[in-house]
Amino acid sequence: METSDEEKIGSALVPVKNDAAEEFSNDVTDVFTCQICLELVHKPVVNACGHMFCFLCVHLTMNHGWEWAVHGSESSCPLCRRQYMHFPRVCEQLHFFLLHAFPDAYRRRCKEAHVEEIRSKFVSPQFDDGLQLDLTEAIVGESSHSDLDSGKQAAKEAVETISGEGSPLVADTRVDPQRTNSSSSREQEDGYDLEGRSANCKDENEVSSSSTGVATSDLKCSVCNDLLCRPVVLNCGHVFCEECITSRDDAEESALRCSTCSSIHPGQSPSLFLELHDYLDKTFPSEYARRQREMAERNNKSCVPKKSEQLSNKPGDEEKSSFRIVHLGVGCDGCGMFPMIGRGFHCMGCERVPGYDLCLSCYESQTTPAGRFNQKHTREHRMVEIGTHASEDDEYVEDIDDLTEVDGILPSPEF
Amino acid sequence: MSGGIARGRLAEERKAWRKNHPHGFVARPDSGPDGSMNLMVWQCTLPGKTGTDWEGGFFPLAIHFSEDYPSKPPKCKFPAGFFHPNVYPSGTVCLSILNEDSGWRPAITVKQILVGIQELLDQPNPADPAQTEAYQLFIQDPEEYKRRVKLQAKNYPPPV
Repeated sequence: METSDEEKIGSALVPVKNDAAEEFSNDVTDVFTCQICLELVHKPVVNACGHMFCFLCVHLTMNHGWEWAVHGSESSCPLCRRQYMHFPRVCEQLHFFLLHAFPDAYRRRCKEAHVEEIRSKFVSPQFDDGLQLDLTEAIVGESSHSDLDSGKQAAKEAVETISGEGSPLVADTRVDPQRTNSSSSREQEDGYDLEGRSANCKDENEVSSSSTGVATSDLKCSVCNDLLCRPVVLNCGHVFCEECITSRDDAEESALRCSTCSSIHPGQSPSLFLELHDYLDKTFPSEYARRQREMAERNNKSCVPKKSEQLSNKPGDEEKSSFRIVHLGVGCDGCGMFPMIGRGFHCMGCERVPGYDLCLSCYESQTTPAGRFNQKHTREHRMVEIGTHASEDDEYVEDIDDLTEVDGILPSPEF
Repeated sequence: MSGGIARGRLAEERKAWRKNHPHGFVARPDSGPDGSMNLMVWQCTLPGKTGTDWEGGFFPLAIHFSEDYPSKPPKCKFPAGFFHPNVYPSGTVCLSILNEDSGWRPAITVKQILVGIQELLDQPNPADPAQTEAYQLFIQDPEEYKRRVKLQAKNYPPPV
């Protein structure tokens, strides 16, 4: 086993000629292009249909519910139009992979994107990736830059929001140690702690691609602890081999549950993440071929019916019958349902925008999921049912008695 | 709503177009009298397809992007009165991929839009007429329709 692996390492190390290296790396960044902004993807989010976009691009292109009567509440994938209702979490593993694989390009992209996020007030979750300090500098630089074209209204607004947000951000960096602690402890739960990562790097099975410095250890499945094979991404942002999530034995449970964070994957079962699949195939040809053979064998041996076939939108369907309230522009931070439908709970301790909210089932699960955005929500914050507290929040509660009747007749709600 | 993405995306579209675009097509952001560039409106020219009655014509098309782009599709306009069954009297193009409720996807690029409209010129969709004149001739009098198409192509000679 060990010796044969080492032979494979040797063969995997020579796939790219040096003179072609630059062209190759260009191709590779093209693979990880967000089809919404057409730039290198930032904080990748992968929809159930297997298509990858930037965090902010997905949030902004989702159906926020404002045009409820015309379009209903579902969003459709920017690439294939498959409908979905849940905003997936950022795929953290892929974020770190991009940081490792394209250090310069991705760092640059992170700085730009962070300015955009601040401007839009929807800041993506911050990871322990050593980028924070750089980001503050980027913002200071950008705001003075925007000052120059003060002629335009848009630029002026941008400066205002930046300077408005500037001080909290500086404060952010000051409380950094605390946050780093909390985020790394969360990462430990997620199985992503830095120690684990560096331990992985020493793995003897490691195969690296000479052109980009990417190693197979960056792209491992946490179930089989081997190179991802036909990767799929769950709503919680964790990546697994297709086989590893569909062939598990706990078939008595109808919902697909993440084996890393044990959150339930809502909505349709995830499809192959084709971009990553192609990339793996191209970057580690022999290693990936071995993995595909292994998976095929495993598949033949086990006669367990595929889980994906049994999966349906059951949780969603059940809720549909009781759809009553649509929280326009508000999403559940637990399962990602957006816009949130049904009874909802709002955190009084987090900032109003983007706010921290939970749908009924996430609220009742008694867990405290991290926010979809960069909220600093903690268990101690007080959660209040939307519509039952201070009237200031009533404006984003839209009560629609019976949607089956209203659908298509009601004019878009006014805000 | 989605302030921010639109301009960044259009800048990338412009970059991609300059790098590579189909032969005979022109697409550039509008420039004001003072030379400033307006990324939200693009002036384009699309050539009639070779081997069709539209050949030889270079048709001007304006693409208007909204701040919600690319969540929402841009509006594509030929000059008012353009002769084609799927073009409204105002010049607005009626095409599935430009309709938010049927075919639009934020991943559709300017290049795909222009090539799609070029295809539409010679392959009108009689199920979805947008003007009576061209539609009726297309259905009832193919010879006259052909003559009108060729005449229109002559009226839009190649740009000098």
